Amino acid sequence: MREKTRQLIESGLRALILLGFAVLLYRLVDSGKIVYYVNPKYAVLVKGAALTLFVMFLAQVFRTARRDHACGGHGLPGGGKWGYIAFMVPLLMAYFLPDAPLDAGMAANKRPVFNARIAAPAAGPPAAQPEGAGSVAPGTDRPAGTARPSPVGELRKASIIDVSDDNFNLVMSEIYLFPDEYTGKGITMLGFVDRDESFLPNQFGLVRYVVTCCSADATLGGMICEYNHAAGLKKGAWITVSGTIQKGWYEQRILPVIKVTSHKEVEAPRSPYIYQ
Amino acid sequence: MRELIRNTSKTAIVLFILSCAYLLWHLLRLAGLGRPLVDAGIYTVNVGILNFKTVFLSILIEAIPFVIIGVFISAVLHNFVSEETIRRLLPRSRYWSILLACLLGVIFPVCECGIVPVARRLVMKGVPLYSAVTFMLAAPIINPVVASSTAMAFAGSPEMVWLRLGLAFSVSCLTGLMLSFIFHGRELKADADRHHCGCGCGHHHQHCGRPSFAGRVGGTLQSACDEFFEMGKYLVLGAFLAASAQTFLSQGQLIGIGWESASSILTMMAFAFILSVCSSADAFIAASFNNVFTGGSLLAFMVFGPMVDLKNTLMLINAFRLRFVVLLTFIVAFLVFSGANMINSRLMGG
Repeated sequence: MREKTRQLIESGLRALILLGFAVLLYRLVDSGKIVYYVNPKYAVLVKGAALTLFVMFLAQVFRTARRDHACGGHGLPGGGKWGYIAFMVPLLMAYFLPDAPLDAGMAANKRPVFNARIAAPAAGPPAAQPEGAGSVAPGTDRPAGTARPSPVGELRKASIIDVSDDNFNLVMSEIYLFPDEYTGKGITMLGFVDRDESFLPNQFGLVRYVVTCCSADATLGGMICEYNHAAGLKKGAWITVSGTIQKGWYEQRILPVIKVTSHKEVEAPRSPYIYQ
Repeated sequence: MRELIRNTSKTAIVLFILSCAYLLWHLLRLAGLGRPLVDAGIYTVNVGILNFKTVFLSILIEAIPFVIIGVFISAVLHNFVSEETIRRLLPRSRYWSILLACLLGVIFPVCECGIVPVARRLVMKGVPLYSAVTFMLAAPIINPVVASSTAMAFAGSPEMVWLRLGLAFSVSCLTGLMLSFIFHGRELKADADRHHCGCGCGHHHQHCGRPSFAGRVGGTLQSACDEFFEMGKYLVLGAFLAASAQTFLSQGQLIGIGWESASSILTMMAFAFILSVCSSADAFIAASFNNVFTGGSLLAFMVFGPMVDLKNTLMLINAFRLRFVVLLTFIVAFLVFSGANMINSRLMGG
């Protein structure tokens, strides 16, 4: 009898966990908060997983109701019922802690990439991708001529560069690989303030998290800004800056930097990462 | 030996629960008091735990679909494909079957998150251990998805793609060959066979005997579900450890190790092991270290990580005997290390 109760509890726990994960995944996709965790291009996959988990939940309930004992009910190897606590922890965290994107506190653990992000811009218009990749890779034997009528060409002609979520990677690669082409141009850019001891007093990093699959693989990308009012900016604050691209110094290297003329504090964007 | 494994996983679970208790304490405090603060945008209160949660859940959310795919492939193999069919399809020769296992990823691009259940099921179904393991090592790297993401990340140095694929190919081939001479049994944990009909629990299961098609579908769902729970807890544990490492260790500390060949390779391998990111994303992380570490150590990162990482090792220990997992890890680590060293000396020598 006790054995039976134990099995019933275990089946119940299983059903609960399956339902919990199914609802969690579905809700994340549905509310759009999935962008805090994984690349939205996987949203379909996550939704599929939610659906499958729900079917597994139904199967589990059906199985329990018919008293058709599960093999797994005999204490799974390596942990037994303790294993279920392992599942409960992420579920509790997911339901009881608010969803939040990575913030500047995490930035201290990451190495900001103040050089070319070598990636091609996947978020841009589809036709732009091969040209983008070709033009940021001067060492390859791709015909350079094809790159001209592309976003890169437009970028080089523009007098003011407006950095958006879509062209972030492209602009960063371009500016760091061909700084001479861009020196003197105006620029406006959104990001959050990053700061540590590697910066001069009048410098700060204006950075974004660049994410490929999930926020565990986030890297920091962005530019160094030089600003007379730099000291007044709080670490982690979201701002837009406008200024011009100049050459500056950072860690004994000459790098393109933004000489900031003005900044504006803004709300954190709805989709805080740059996805590629 | 089995006692030892039991105890190891018990200790791991206890440690896990202790650290969870600590987090739960935070969680309760936050749920009670901190929530309005966080909603109001004052993140500074519990920054650590929110970042931890984001990384922890994102690894899980990313991996769960692939684990589900993995356990369903395994369950379908279990319920629909007989041992004879597999035996007929496999090449007779050891060398051909290793080669085939290496290249199978080109047709079935699988992620490393879901591959352990598939490999275990293949071994249960009578596939030789070395073929299944070679497939497990090679498939997450030698496939079109990973190749294209590597090409994207290293657009400036396209030779990295070929070096990565080549190194992965030789490491998995050699590992498979070595294993084929060392191990002749299946090296499965004894209780891994529990899901077979003779599970000893004294009940009759639907999928025993000669089941109907509907019965098989039901059986597939059941075994997928059982395996999801069996593998899933190690995934959670691995994600938990990886997220702690990410939240509390600084990448900046790695920079000090720098350009020296051997130590930088070892560092990047350890980094890959702890980080446990998906094989289609790790190239971008490697690329962000492009100017800090040698090409060889970046390759070591990109080859070792998908083959051996924290969450997979935990799942492997659950599926296979401990001595096998230890030896496998050692062989792969040794091969990747020497391969990366060779590449480093080639790159530096011109």
